[in-house]
Amino acid sequence: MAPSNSELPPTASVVQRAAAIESLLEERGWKAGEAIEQGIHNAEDVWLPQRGAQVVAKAWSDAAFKARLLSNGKAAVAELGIDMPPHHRHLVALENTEAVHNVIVCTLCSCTAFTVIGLPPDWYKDLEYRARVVRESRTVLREMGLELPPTTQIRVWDTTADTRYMVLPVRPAHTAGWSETQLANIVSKDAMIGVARI
Amino acid sequence: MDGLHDLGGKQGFGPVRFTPEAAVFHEAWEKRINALYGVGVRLGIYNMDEYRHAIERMEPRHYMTAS
Repeated sequence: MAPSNSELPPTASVVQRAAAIESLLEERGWKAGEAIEQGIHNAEDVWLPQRGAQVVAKAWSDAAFKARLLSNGKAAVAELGIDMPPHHRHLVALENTEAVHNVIVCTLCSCTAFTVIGLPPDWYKDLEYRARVVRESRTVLREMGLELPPTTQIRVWDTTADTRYMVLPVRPAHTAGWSETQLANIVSKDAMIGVARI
Repeated sequence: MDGLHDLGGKQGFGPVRFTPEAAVFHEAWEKRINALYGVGVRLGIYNMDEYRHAIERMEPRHYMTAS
């Protein structure tokens, strides 16, 4: 009997399928294993939110840098030695104020400026966040622990393959006189996505 | 394409399973596959548009239950 059309055809486990792709690439001499190890190293040791935190701290401390960041994000982060893949054509920094709060999402998948703010957290890729934050952002942010004043406007930015975003949080008033290193230490990935304030 | 992957504004979903400073990956294969897709782009096996098109051609039930 043919399988019911409500069932998917059986497949190998995801672990087996991943290994099969790797071994096919190896067979063709593409050294996939080596490249994958390099990719994992980047994900774990290079593309960390501390990079984005450094960008935020500099923008808070240096008005000229902040102006460059807001006008051409990709060029500004390059000044700090932070590269972006060629297909990340634009980095748009979104400045929070008391009146405006920015939050980013990728409704289609998981796009982020990952070389700057780090790879996306698990919940960012989940169906719930992608579906709901664009329709009921204030409620979703409240559920995630961020209660914004009703007078604060919320702007939601949907990332694409070409255009990546980072949120520039409001600098807390009690940090006057802090060094860039001290400032960077209080900036989180969640704040650069826009689901937390500092 | 107008498939299930395009989730913006879809209704009926519950609370976001949020934890502050959440993990990026949970399983070892996720790290390897995330690195592998980048390898495919760099080797010129496919470009980002072809990668996107492949995601959108995933069987909807598979897509909705995939991690």
